[in-house]
Amino acid sequence: MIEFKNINLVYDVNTPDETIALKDINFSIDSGEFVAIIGHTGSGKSSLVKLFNGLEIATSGEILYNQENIYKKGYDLYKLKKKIGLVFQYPENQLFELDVLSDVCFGLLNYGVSQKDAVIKAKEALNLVGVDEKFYHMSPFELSGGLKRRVAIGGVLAMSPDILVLDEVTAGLDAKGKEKILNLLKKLNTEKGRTIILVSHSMEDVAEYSQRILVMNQGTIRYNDTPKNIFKKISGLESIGLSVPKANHIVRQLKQRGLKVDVTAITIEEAKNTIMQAVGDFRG
Amino acid sequence: MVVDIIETAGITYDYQKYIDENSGSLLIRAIDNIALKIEAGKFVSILGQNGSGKSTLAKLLAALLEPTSGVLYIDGKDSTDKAQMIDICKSVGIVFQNPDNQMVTSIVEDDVAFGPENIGIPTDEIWQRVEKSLKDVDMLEYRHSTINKLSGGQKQRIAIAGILAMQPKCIILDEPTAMLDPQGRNEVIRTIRELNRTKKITIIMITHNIDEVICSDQIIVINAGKVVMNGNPPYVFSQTKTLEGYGLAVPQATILSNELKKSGISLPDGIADDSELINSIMNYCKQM
Repeated sequence: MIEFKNINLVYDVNTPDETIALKDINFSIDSGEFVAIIGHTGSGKSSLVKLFNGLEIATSGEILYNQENIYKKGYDLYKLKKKIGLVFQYPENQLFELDVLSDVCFGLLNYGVSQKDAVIKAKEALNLVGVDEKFYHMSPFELSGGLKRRVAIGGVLAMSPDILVLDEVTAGLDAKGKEKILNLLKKLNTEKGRTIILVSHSMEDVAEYSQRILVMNQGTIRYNDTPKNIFKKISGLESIGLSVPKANHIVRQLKQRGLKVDVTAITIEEAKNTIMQAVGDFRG
Repeated sequence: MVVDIIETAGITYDYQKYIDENSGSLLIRAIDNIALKIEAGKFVSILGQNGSGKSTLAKLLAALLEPTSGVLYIDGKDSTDKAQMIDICKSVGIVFQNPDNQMVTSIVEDDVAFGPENIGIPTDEIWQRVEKSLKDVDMLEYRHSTINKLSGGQKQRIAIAGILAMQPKCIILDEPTAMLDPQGRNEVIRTIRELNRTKKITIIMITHNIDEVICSDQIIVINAGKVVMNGNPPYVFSQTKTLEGYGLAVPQATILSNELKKSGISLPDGIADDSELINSIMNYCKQM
């Protein structure tokens, strides 16, 4: 569905500050996938995210969306921005309207949707992100952090994008707020068939929710594989400032202590199952 | 003798919320009758969901806000006593979530010098303090660097150095690692622990990251402006259901140990730490 081909991104070309942000990036993401992007700060994650809908233009290379090169002359990048929604880190900083409902309508109105239809779509989106009707006419600035963020995501969802790209969307939220947002993404993915691309710092979350992980390091893609395979590479991950999920860490240590557990367990559920099995064998 | 760096009795804090011209404004109680004692030299964590009043409490404890009612003593001084304000500001420093919002200059050493300069410390001593503070947070080699070229973790450590240069007795940190990657998070947490251990500086840290609170001496849980739990980590983490009820996460090791217990393995209550869980599982195996 979306494919990056030999993408390079250089900032401040031909100046003393020239910096290579992305180097020879190649990958593709299919429709309906839930993909996570992980990497140390400065590894190029946010630069990569901005390329998805043409917000930033690569220095060289091609991006194919539905087999069409988005850098082709005459390609409608304006339309692309509607198809691929970006949610930035701290999206609540982008709220600005007088009330919640108008804020969510803003994007739609800009795309020429009538006021009436915009309100219908905005209400659908707010319903999806779990923002109650009683908040519609409150100022977005009066809401709690978790709620603000859901309103901001609602603004992007109202545009009904095919692909939703989210940069560190749970940073600074409490457990309940975080779980609500992650479950919402899961629901959008499984029930509505939306493609989700999630940039995250939490190894536990990516192990739990994603089907595939892209690991970034120094502007390149270091690994591109399933969570299970990625977290087998513990030393490779640690050498680039990443780690394995806590549950995986625990089973690895149990193995070292002589318990016959499966060290590929990466979620709490998998860890529990293999520990129960191993304890049973120990007894047997 | 046990000295309390913070002592409060029944403090409340009300925000005024403006509705519109006709209805005027409404009072919102953010902190509701909190009584707390924090011993000097302890590492204290404050947990609570978004909107529970944690950040308001942090600002009260740092004397950035004045309680609406009740008494608050910071290092033995009444926080509402204007005459002692400067002394209070010298005893307690605060670090916020976003490192970019706390930097006032463009070069690292100037930023660290800003605080002591403002309280009229002689120039020679300022430079000594700057050097020492940067050393304590392991950032001395960056003293001449441009701040906006540093990573988030490095910037937070500069913010901490800026406070150390004021030689405080207590540092309050409001979600200092929320915007950092795992490496930056580790750097900051390691620095904070080290300051607590070697310099006996009281640490009061607000966080959502449950794994960061495991090694604290005391955990305070805030909900709807009230203190709802107050105790050491094993006590707090043995009450998984209550914690979840307040919208808080429990450590991964606790979740896994609860799952294992449900499946029939007998393990002690309140496990929060990985090695504790691993040892308990191995003990269980050996006892069978």
